[in-house]
Amino acid sequence: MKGYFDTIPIDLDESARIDGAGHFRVFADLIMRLALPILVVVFFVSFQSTFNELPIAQVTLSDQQNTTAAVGLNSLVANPLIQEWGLMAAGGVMMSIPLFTLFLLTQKSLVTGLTAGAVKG
Amino acid sequence: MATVELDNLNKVYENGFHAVQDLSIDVDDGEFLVMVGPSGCGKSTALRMVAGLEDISTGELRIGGRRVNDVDPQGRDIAMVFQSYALYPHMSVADNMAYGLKLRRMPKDQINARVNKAAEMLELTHLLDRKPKQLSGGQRQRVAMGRSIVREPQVFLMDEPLSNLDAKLRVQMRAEISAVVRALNTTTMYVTHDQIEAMTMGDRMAILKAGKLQQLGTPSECYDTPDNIFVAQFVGSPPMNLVTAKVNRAGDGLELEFGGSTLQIPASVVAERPALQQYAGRTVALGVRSEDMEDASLRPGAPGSSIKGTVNLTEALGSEIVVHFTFPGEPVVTEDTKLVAEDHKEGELHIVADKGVRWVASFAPRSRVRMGDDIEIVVDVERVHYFDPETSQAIRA
Repeated sequence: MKGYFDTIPIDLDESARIDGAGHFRVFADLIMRLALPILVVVFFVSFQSTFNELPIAQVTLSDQQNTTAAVGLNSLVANPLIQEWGLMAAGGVMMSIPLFTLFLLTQKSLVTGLTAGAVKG
Repeated sequence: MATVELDNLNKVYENGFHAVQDLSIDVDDGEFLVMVGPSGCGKSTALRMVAGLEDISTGELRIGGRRVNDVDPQGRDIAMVFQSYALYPHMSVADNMAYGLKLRRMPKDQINARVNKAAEMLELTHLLDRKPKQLSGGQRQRVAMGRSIVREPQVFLMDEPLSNLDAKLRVQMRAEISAVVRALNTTTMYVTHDQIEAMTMGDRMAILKAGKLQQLGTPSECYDTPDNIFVAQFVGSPPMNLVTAKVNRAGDGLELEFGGSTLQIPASVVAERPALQQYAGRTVALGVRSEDMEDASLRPGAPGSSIKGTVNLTEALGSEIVVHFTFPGEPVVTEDTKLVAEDHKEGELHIVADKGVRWVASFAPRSRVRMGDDIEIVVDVERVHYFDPETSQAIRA
């Protein structure tokens, strides 16, 4: 993430300060706007890992009414006597739909070259 | 519009590097001042100190009479054009230009009026909706200019704004910037390493070397009366020709002896530079501009005003013939000449003279000299420059 921030030219920062922007404005108007792709990546990765998280959810969410999708799917095959493999696989596909939609929505921001044209060469 | 006063500015970096030493320049209201020097001479550092992007170690900086040493860049009311343009990539051209005004909470209609006016001036009107990455280099450069113009600041600062453009565009933008700045009549400080830009654009030029000011004056002053060998060699293309010459007494007057030739120093020149008398019997560094020499077969000179040499190379440019010739003599080698040679290395033709000194003269196009000829060259002895070979300073008073 720091590596991405480093690709934003320092000249932009200086130029904005001369234009009259304080530290906060430089951060909000320039740095955050130009760092958008990496922020989206970080958001997506952390969302996905929380969504699919199993061990902690299994221990803490004991009430059947409140289980996450991952815990629920796991319970379909947890009992060695009743293993619903087909049902679990179908559930897995359904579970991918939210993530898939999210990706479609954020895909537009995941572009490189956002700073193209700022500085020469 | 305001004056800018640099009063004994110093910049010492944490690692002890002394980038700018006792720099004192007064820039008048509405003046176009160019700071020029070889790379690493501290000119950009000095400009960044004026902008507020670098701290001032010691000394005082005043803009419009107000001390601004401790004022933030945004409080100095200046605008800067960067070498890299530094446009905001996610904003359109219009937003780029308007950003500084929006931050100052100017009413929208006023912002639009100013942006449109600047766009018209720079012929950017049809590009206002584009993003910087959709523009060519010259257009981006104009947007960077426009961003400065709309602010209507006290002072314009420009840090090598043309060095990223190709040669043809650079000449065109040079004229455009000059015209725009003069139309606005705003105080401008311009940094460049290109002495041609400095000569053509500036009201005055400040020549820097290793953090020290060498000479401050109008371009023609710096060209015609250089204060030292560095200025003589740095300003002008080709650089001033130099040779080590011995000063002898001849009757009432003085004459110069070098490379088997003798030049009479006219009495008027000695009267103007009485210090030359003290150099009798010693050596001086003699400097001659290329245009102060002529082919002797075209315009025979008085006795004691010509030198002999062998032509290495001729370059016919149509309006003149540039003749490179050598003659036996002792070249002037100082720190300055080495530095200038280093700086000119790129893109310049270098033929190492086997022995002696290599000079460049420009002759009238009627001259028929060819490579390998032994020729006689008439020197305009009134316009010869004299320098002390040890101190590098011009010999004047």
